[in-house]
Amino acid sequence: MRDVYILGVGMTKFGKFPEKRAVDFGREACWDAIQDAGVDRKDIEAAYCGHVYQGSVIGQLIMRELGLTGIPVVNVENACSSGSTAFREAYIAVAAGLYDLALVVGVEQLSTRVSGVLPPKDTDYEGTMGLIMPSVFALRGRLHMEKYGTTIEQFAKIRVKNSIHAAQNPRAQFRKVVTVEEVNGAKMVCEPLTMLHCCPNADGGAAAVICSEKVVRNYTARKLRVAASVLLSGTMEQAGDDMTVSSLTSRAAQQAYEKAGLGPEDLSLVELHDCFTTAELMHYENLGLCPRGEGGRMIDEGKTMLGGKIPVNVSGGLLCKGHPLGATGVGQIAEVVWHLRGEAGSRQVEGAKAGLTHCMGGAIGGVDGASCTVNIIVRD
Amino acid sequence: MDDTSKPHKTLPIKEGIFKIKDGQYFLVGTRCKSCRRHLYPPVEICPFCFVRDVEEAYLSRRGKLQAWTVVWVPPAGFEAPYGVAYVDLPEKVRVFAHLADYKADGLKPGMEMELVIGKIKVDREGNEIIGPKFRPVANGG
Ligand SMILES: [Zn+2]
Ligand SMILES: [Zn+2]
Repeated sequence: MRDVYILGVGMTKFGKFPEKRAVDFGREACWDAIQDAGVDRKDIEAAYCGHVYQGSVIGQLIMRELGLTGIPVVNVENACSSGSTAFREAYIAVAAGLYDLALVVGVEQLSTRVSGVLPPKDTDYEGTMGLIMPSVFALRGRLHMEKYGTTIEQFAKIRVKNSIHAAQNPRAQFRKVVTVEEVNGAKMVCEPLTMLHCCPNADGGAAAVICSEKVVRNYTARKLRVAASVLLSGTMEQAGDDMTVSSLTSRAAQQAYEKAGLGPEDLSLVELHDCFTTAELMHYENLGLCPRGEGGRMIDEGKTMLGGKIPVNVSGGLLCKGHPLGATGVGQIAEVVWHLRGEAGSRQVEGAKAGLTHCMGGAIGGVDGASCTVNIIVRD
Repeated sequence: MDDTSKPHKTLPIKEGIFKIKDGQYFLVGTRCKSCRRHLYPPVEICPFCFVRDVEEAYLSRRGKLQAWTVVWVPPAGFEAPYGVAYVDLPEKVRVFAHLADYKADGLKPGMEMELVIGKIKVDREGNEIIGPKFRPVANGG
């Protein structure tokens, strides 16, 4: 397998834009990524599009807008990991030597489709019983409180931290800094999680241009290498299994660290799947950023704040930047790329050398999650 | 609006996942004849050892509460607030169910719970959909 590099990225502002279509987000994000990469459009050999609810051949609809017709286009659905799964498919094809230059795009237009909580799966027992995403992370978070003494204030602080980060991100959906009192005083969704403990539905798009080691020198001296790109699905959860642990995320992270030849202590920043405040805190532990049970301490001590030991979700995360499902994973990669290049403005993580992105999606009965991706990107 | 001219039915959330035996409701799962593991809801193929030689199994009516929450923003068909929980049965099966009473006080992980069958939601035709719920065992069981 060959090394794979990221040449350019693009991302639209995330938020509620009912007047726009998924194709609009895709076109704009791809345009920016292609300009950023400085590649000739004609040299792009394949395109991969991640989305959840955008219907048949959305990737081809976007490519038509760009005049990128005739090339192989792959459409990918993998719940909240759709965009990052599309990225990984492109990575595999380039690493395998099939293509030297590929385009990845993730898009979602949610605001015209869904209001309030995403509908549960009617093809799954737990979905038909009313298992919605907030309840998944509400009950696991509550168990973390019972088991480790974690408090609702600590969970609320995650939202506060991410709001402070998002205030410095012009592409973020919510840029207003909130307080612990505001977070916990908002409308109750699933006990103990209020609306502000949950990420908002969003629309948006993100894109990346990746290339092989063979051509990277033709484009840039600033080499950003994909050191690991891992995708896993969940395993059977049985009675007795600890519900404060996402073994799915832990396994994916472990594989990524091994492949990249580095550990959590080597990371400069992490963009993780904070669909809920409880998810972010528990993923500190799942990704090995701290020992089990110490997620609360991480946030109390400001370790995951910009300027802290390991800044997490400096983009604002899903909670404040927004969560346009298919775009999320590619947007995380764009954020890491900007930091590795020193282009992240006032939210820049100084001297960033390595960044990790993590997505986890899909609640289905009996297994601990449907899809999970972990990518590690390094500055060579 | 409900169409009152049509009689509404009471239907199980999924056919065959609970049955009455000796006047009591039981959850019905699958037991694998090869590895003897239990699964709920029932399966055609044992996911652990990949055999089709499985049989119907009545599961214990009592189990231990693992985790729970109360949903205040319901998806379509559900009436908020409602409680949901994971309960581990002695057959090593983790069951997702509703709480019989979302206001139940003093719930604790590990607490002994027992099965009841009750209303889960209302479907598009206005039928009442019933399924598994759990409540704390009186006097600690
Ligand atoms: Zn998600
Ligand atoms: Zn078996």
